[in-house]
Amino acid sequence: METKDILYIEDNPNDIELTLRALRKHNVANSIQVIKDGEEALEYTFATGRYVERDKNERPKIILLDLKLPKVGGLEILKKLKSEEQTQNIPVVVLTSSSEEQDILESYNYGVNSYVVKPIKFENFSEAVSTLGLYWLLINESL
Amino acid sequence: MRKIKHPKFQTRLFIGLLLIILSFSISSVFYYRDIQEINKVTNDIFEHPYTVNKSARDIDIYINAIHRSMSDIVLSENEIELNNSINLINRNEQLIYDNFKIVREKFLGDLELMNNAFATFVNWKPIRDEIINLVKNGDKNTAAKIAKGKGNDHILLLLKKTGLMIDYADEKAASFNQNLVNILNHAKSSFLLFFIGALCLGIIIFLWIFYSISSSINNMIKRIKNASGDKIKQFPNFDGNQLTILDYAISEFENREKTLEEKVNNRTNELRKAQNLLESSIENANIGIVTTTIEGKIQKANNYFCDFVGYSKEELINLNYTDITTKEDKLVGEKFVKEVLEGNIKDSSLSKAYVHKSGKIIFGQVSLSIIRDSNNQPNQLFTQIRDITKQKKYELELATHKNDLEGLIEERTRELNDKTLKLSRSQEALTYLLEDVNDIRKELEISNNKLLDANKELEAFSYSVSHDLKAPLRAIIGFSQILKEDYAPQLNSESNRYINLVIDNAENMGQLITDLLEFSRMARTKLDKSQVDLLTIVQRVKRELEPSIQNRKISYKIKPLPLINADEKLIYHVVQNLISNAVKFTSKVENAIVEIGCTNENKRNVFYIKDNGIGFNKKYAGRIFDVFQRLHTVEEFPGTGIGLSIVQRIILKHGGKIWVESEINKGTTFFFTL
Repeated sequence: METKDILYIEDNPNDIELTLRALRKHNVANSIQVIKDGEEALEYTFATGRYVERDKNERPKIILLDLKLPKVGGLEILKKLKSEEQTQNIPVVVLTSSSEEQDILESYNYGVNSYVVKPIKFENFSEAVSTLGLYWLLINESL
Repeated sequence: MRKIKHPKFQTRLFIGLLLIILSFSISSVFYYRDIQEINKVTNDIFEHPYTVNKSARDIDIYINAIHRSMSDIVLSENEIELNNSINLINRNEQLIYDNFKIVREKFLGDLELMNNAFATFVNWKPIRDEIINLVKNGDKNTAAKIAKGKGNDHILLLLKKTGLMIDYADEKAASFNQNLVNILNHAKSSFLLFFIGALCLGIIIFLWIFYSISSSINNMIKRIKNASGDKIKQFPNFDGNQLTILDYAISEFENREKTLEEKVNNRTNELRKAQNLLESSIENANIGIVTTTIEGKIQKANNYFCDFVGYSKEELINLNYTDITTKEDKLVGEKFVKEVLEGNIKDSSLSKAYVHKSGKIIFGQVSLSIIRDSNNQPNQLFTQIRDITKQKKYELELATHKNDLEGLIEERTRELNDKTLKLSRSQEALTYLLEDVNDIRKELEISNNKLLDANKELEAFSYSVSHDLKAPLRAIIGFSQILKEDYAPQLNSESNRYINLVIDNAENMGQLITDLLEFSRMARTKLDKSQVDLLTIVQRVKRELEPSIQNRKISYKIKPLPLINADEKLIYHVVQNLISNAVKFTSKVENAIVEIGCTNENKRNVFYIKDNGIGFNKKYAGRIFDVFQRLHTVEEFPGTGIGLSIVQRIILKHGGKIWVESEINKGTTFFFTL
C-alpha cells in the first residue's frame, strides 16, 4: 500500500473539501491521505488494523490534525505520535476552530510543531492551510 | 620574657682590673713597710752594736796600754823616761774617756753596766797619781808595791767591767741579727701571701667575667632559639661555637626581618586599599556618616551629610554637633549621647531636628555608636543620619489630619449615640428580620450552587460553540466563495450580490461568535498582575493599527503615563479596544485627533482616551457597555457591540471603574481607573 506525503485527519467533510481545494489552489500537488476518525488515523500511522499491509517504514511528510474527532480525540493522537520513536519526528500541524487556551497549551505540551486556528474567512483559511502545508513540506524535504 | 640585669660588660672588666691593682697596691704597701723596717734594723745593726763594740774594744786596748805604761813608770831610770810614760798614760786616758763618751751616746742596753765601768775608770786616777808621786819622790819600791798590788787589781777590775760591756753589746748585735732574719722571713711570707691572694682574686674575677659573658651569650642563644619557634630544629650547632651561632642567628633574624618587613609592607598596602574602599564607601554612602569627638566636635562628615545640612566639609569641621541642632533638640541630643555612653539604652537610634545652613529645619534619623580606644575608653562617636525630613513632613500632615479626624469622630460619635438609641428601638424589629434573612441566606446558598453548576455548563457550552458553531459558518463562507470564484460569470449581478451578502453575514456571525467567546472567557480567566508600562502598550496598539488606516491622517497626542500594576494581556485588550474605537469613530472627521493621557483625581490615576469623532448623545452613556449595545448602524461603523462590554469586564475585574463622556459631533472621552 502506498504511503501518501500528507496525512490529513479531519471528520468534517466541508472542511476536508475546502482544505483540499485550498492546497490544490496553492499548488501543493503532493499526495494526500484523508482519514476521518481518530482510531483509523492511529492504525494508519502505525500500520496496524486496516492498514497492516502498509510499509511502516514509509512515513507521511506532514500530518494535519483536527482536534475534535470521533472515537479517539486529536490531542490523544498527538500525544501518541509524539511519544513513539518511529513517529515523533513527523511534523504535526494542529488545524482547529478552537482558540481555547487549554487546547493550545496542551498541544504545545505534547510537542506540536504548529497550531493554527481555522479562520472564518475563506481567504484567510485557504492561505493559512496552504502556507503551513508548504512550509512543513519544504522543511521536511530538506531534512 | 625574664630580663636579667647585668652590669655593663666594660664596667665589669674595669672593676676586675681595679680590684687586681688594688690588691697589688695593698701588698706593695705592706711590703714597703717591711722594707723600711729592715732598713731601720740594718741601721741599728750597723750603727749601734758596731760602734759600741768598737769603742768598748778600744777602751779595752787603751786600758791594757795604761797597764803597760804603769810598769814603765815604776821601772823608769830617769826623769825623761818617767815623763814620757806619764804623757803616754794621759793620752791613753784621754782616748778612753772619748770612747766612753761614744758608748754613752749609742749604748742601747743597760746604762748601769756602762756607768759602772766608767766609775771604775774614774776611780783609777787617784791610784795612778799616788804611784806617779811615789816614783817622783824616788820611792820606787813602794810605788812598785802599790802598782803590783792595788794598781794591778784595779786595772783587772776595769778590764772585767769593760768585758761585761762588750759581752752585752755582742749579745745585742746577735739579737738584732736574729730580728733581721725574722723580719726578712716575715716580709717574704707576707709578700707571698699577698701575691697568692692577688693571683686568686685575679683568677676569681676572670672566672666571674668569663662566666657572666658566657652565660649571657648562652642566654641570648636560648632566647633566639625560643624566638625562632619552629625553626629550632634547623638551627645548626656549629660545634658549640657561641659566637658563630650568634652570628648565624643575627643574620637569620636580619633575613626574617626583611621578610617581615615585606609582609608588613604588603599588609600595609592591603590595609590601605581596604581603608580606601571603606573611606570611599563611607564617602558615597546613601546615608549621612559623621565622626565626632565625645564632646561633639565634628571630625569627619561624608557627602550625604554635607548635602543634608548644606555645609561644606571644611565648614563642618569647625562646628560642634550642637551648632547644627535646633535649640529644642540640643538637650535631647546631649541626653541621648550621655545615655549611649553610659550604656543605658540598647537601641541607640533617635529622630532629631537639625538646622540647615539656610536656616531651614530638617529632620534626621540618628543612630549612634561609640568608638573606643585601646584602653576601652570612649574616644569618638560614630553617627549615621538618614534624612527623614519628608517623612517627618508627612507625619505632621498626618497628625493634622488626625486632629481633624478626631473632631469628626467626636461629632459622629454624638450622632451615633443618637442613632444607637434609635437602633435599640429598631433592634427588636430586626430580630424578626434576622430570621427572615436566615431563610433568605439558605435560599441564596442553593442558588449559588446552581450558579456554579451553570458556570460549568457555560464553560462546556462555550467550548463546543467554538468548535461546532464555527465549522458550519466556515462551510457557508467557503462554499459561497467557491461559488463566487467558479461560477460568477454564469450568474447575474443580483445573484452575485446575494452571494456577497451571504458571505458578509456569515463573516459577521463568525466575528460575533469570536467576541462572545472572548467575553465569556473573560469571566473565567484569573488576573496575572505585574508592573506594566502603559506607554509601550499604546505604542504597540498604534503600530498594529497603522496598516488598516493607511489612507487616513490621525494625530496622536500621547501624554506621560505612569507604570501600573495590572494584567498585561488584558490591559492590552482594553487599550486596543479603546484606541481602535477612537480611530473608528473619527473616520468621518478630517483632522482626527486621538489623545491618550492620565490625570490625578483624589490621588487616583484616571486614564483617558479622547477623540474628536462623531460622539453620541450622553443619555446613552450608561448603556454603551451593555452586551450587543450599538449606537450606530453596521453600515456606518462596523462592529459587534461586544468590545466595550469586554473592556468593562476587564476594568471591573481589576477593581477599577470605567465611564464615558460624549457630545454629538464633538467627540468622546473614555475614562478608566484601575
